[in-house]
Amino acid sequence: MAVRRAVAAIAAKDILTWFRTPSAIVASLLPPVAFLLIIFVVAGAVGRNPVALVVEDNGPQAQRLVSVLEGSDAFRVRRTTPDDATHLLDTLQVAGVITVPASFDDDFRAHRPDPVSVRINNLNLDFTNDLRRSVPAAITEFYAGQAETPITVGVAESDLRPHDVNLVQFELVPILVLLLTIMGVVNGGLAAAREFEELTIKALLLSPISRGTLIAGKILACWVTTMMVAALVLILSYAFGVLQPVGWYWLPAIAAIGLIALAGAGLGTALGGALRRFSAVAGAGINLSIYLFFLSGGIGVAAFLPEWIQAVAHFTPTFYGVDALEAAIFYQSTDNLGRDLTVLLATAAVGLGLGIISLRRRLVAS
Amino acid sequence: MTEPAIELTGLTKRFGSFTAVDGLSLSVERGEIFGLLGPNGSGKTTTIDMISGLSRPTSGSITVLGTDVLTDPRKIRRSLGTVPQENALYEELTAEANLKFHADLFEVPRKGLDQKITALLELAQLQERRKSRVSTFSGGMKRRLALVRAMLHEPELLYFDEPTLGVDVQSRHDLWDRILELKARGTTVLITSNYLEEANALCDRLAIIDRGRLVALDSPSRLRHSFGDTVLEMRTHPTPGEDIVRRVTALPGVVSAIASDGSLKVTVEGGADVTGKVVTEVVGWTSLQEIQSREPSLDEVFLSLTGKELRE
Repeated sequence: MAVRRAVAAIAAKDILTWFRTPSAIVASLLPPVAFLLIIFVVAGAVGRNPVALVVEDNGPQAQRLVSVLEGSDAFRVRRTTPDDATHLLDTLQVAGVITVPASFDDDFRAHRPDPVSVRINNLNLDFTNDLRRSVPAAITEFYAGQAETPITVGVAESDLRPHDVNLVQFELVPILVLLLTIMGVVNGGLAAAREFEELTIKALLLSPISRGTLIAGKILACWVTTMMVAALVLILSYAFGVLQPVGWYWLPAIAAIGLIALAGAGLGTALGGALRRFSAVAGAGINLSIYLFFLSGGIGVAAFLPEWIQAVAHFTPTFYGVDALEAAIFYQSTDNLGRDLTVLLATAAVGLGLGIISLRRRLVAS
Repeated sequence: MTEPAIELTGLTKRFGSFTAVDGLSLSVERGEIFGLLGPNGSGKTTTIDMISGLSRPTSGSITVLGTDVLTDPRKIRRSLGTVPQENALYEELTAEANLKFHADLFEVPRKGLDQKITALLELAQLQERRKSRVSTFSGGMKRRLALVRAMLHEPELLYFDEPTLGVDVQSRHDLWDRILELKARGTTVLITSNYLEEANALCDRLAIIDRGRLVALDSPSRLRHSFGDTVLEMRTHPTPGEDIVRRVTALPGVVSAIASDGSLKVTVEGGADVTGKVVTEVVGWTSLQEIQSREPSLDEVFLSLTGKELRE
């Protein structure tokens, strides 16, 4: 009873202190928010390239091609005149200019080669390749809709996943994992370091509580704070339709989140006990979390990265956190769930162990 | 006979080849205000850490309130209230939240806790700032809050590290009153201080330690008088030379004589008779322009016992 009261008091005190320490909140939330903004910007920039469309033929076939281009996921089409198109291209406002020539319908009917010209702003290979792939794809789609089509090759698509996930949604999961890691590592570290830096540790050590009670209270505080922020993110994501686990898949999602938060809290406490300085803990904690984020395939898909990064990713616990959350949230899948949760559980145990050892050693030395 | 509040026997603490506390033996009686004085690095903090169970002695024994510290340090901490030099308050929490947190750690019963906190905040004259964050408090307010926090679990023994360091004169006297009230209620108070006027005003007995060893232990007045009854401060012209100082020092009843920059300070014991002989000797060799007589100060006792060498 006395132990429970003391653990709860330490946890409540640390949680309240976190909410009243803007620097700790900023240190925890700023990196994930920055990455989120980057993802939004990058998704907007690389997802649908802006192109100028010049249509010189008002015939029905030309208009059909225009509607195919306008409906394509690959472009953001802006209808314009040849002169304006040249201006937009020169001033880097569009990635390319697609011109449907005046002879398009005549050539189509005569089965003559139908040159749709594309001028590309080959600013970088990513833009260039997008256009090189997307324009022929649109033309193929155009011909595929014709009764007598010269194009006989089609693509039979079958999807591994039940539905598509857009880039921003997809990247939200590693960013959520980054948030959990930073919240755990930075806040666990700051809560421990603060006691040493502000010399309150002596008052705690001179109280009749055991060192185990003190450590338990601090780790609990960090875990609860992380889970509160995670809950807020999940509620907002659910409300905006971005992250919506279905049915019982909430359970593995929450289990993965809880274990990542616990591992982070343990590691953070270890860091705080070792460094004992607010600024040192914030710097080291943020860096560690961001490295873990990248090494677990935080940007892009780990499996598509160079082999050496994939090899490193498999030794990075957050990789399994991302995998478990993606499976549960996006794909309603239990593939690798056992493996992922086992690794996260082991990581949480190691994190807690390190936290306990580090803080206990420091408390004895105090 | 009541057992002492604190009893140290042959207490020694070594850090590698460095001996921080060297065979310290003393006892603090229940209900007294006891001062532990010493220059920086003399072993005060190490001694207190061992008394409170934070650090294990290399050898020797410590009994606090009848309990061996090494066998049950947590029991002792329950009966010990501490006011650290740095206050150790949570600045982002309110005064009330700090006290409630302390109550949770020390298992103060929840029943009646609010009234108890109210009474203590009134005692500290902080009731109106009950809901204010400690970060908005002055140094004196923080010190008063730290004191009542240490009183919250009604300890039998209260340790106060540098009670009035960094507080203004009004707060200092207010804190002294509070400490004397604690003594009146029967609480044993242990003080460490570098501020000898404070030790003189508060303490029933003082222990002066230096380089880990006990060099003096007595009441402030007896310590002062062990240094001499009277200090004569004489303004002379010219400054007395070494030969005059030697002659004065050789007089019976003279404890010490120091000449500097147009003055001669002589500590004597034996009253007016000795004073007369000193004055006669001095006027025979130099011109005496002014003479003042006073009691020795604790500063003088302290410096005579521990030296003037600066400590880190």
